[in-house]
Amino acid sequence: MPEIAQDVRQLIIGIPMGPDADDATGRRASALASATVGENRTVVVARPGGPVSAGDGLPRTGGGVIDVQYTLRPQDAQDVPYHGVAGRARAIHAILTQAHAAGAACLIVDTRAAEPTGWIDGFVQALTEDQADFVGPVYGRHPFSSGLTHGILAPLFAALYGHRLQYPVALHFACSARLIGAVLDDPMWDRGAALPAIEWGLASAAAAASLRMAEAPVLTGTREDRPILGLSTTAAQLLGVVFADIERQVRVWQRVRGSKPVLRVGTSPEHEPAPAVDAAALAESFRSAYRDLHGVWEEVLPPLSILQWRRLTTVSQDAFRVPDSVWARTVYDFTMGHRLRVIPRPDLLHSLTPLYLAWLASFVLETQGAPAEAIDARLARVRTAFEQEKRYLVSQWRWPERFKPVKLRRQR
Amino acid sequence: MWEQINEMLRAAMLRMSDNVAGFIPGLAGLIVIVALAVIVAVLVRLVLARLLSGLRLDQRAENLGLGSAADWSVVGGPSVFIARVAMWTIIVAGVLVGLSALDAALPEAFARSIFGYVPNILAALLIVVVGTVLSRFFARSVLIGAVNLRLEPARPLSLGIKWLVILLAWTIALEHLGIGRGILAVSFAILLAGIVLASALAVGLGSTEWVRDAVAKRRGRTGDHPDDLPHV
Repeated sequence: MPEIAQDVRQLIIGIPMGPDADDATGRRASALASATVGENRTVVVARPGGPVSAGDGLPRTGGGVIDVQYTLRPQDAQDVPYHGVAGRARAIHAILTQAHAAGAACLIVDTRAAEPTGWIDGFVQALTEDQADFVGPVYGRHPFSSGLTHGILAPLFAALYGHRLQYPVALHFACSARLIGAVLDDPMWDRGAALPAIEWGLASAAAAASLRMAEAPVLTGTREDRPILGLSTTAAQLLGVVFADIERQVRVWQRVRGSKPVLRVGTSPEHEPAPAVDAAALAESFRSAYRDLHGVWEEVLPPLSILQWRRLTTVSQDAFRVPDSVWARTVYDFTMGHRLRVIPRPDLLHSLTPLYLAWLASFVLETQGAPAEAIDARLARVRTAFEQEKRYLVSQWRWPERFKPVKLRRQR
Repeated sequence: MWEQINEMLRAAMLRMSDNVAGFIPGLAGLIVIVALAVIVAVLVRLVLARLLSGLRLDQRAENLGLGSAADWSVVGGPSVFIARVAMWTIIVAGVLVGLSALDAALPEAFARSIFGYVPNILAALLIVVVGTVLSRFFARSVLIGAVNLRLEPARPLSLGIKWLVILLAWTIALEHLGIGRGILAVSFAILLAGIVLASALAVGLGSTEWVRDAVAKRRGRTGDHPDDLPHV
């Protein structure tokens, strides 16, 4: 990687704003700007289209605050991402371009979800004192309410790239000047599949370049950044990002074995109280989905997996458990199905949702009422399963003829 | 008198033998043309299949949203389908050219009329195949979407869409062939209107409570619905 001229003291705090940013978001951005401007920190607000209009509560250019514009393409307005900020990836690119010009590091903040309090210092410390290149957030979210992250995204990132980032997909993250210089011209910015969660691509690029990774706590207030789309669409978008990245970084992740914790700055926030989750209803929705969708899953999953999923439709609620290895292999089979386009990709991505709900039901039934340490230990076992079963993915990726879902076997 | 009968029989035999002698070259020509057509057709099929496979037509068709490998499994994939259509077109053309070689008025007229009809047949065939592929594509998408929305009648909905698209494709194809033009269009319109009316009546009269419960559940759900959790 070429050496980038960087000033580790300089930090740009970037606020990507979509076309639908409301007054509250604007006021929070103003508060953040007035609280953090100075001390080598500059706030950059990226908004689509023309200059910031007067009276919308946003700071004007000057006084350490910079307004940048990005072009919102028609496609961005049509394909609303799960977090609701249309064109967020282009806004982030515009902010990173500013940071690159200044040779500064950059912290991306979502003003809808986090109060601009002292947590920013944790990111600054990771970037400056610990020389980290990618800093991910640590939230106090309960795993029941962030099952996609804890059940698929985090274990998959650890297995693929060897770094145990807790939130590889998040609305707050920071990049060093070195990482910004390396990714600014990457083709991923033009790939529609990568745009809903561009931070996954940035993190994987950092891992691919053997850059340092760290995590810092983020104190969020109410979760106004919750997905505005349904679960199925959210899951399809995020898995689309991940599967596209797996195809892009194939030379990197095939060489990685095991995983290691990333540097943690500050103390992790405590888990929020467990949300009310009706595991019985989730399990029942899986049973109902199996009746209708097993034909679709047979186009992706091998006979053994189908048998194990079918077994779950007959067991009692107490015995409703998705083995970690089955879950990991299922995600890997869907990765292969996506690569080989066994069925249209949107259908493939959406059809994973009922299986994820079954995993969530199993996880909730197993850990309901357990202390936070026990839940974390259980999640560590999920991650280990993804790492152990990775050889299954590597084998199938290298020899695609080994990928034999039920329907393909029947045709042969 | 016997001499006259003998003379007539001899003349008839002569005419028949003349006719047979005149027909045999045409028949031989027909056999040769058909045999050549079969050989050329098989060769064209092999070359086309290999060429289209080399051009990754199946994958390109999928990228264009024309269905996946599973959708095309009925006909063996777009490249196999095109190769087969080309082969049978050449064989049918060979048979028709061969029939005209018989130098008979009736087969020639038949061949001409069939030749004029071939484009319609090909277009109708294409419509039916594309319709069948699209019907499977839509059926699967509707099924997955309905399951994720937790709609109870997911499978009937999916089957309904599938058969509606197939029916539409066949109606257009038959219309293209000029078979039962007005009747088919009217029948399809009546059928479609009937389905819509029956669905409306079923929902309006028979399933009022089900609809009310579904709407109430959506409005008043409290934490037990997967969409109420952020998941991320």
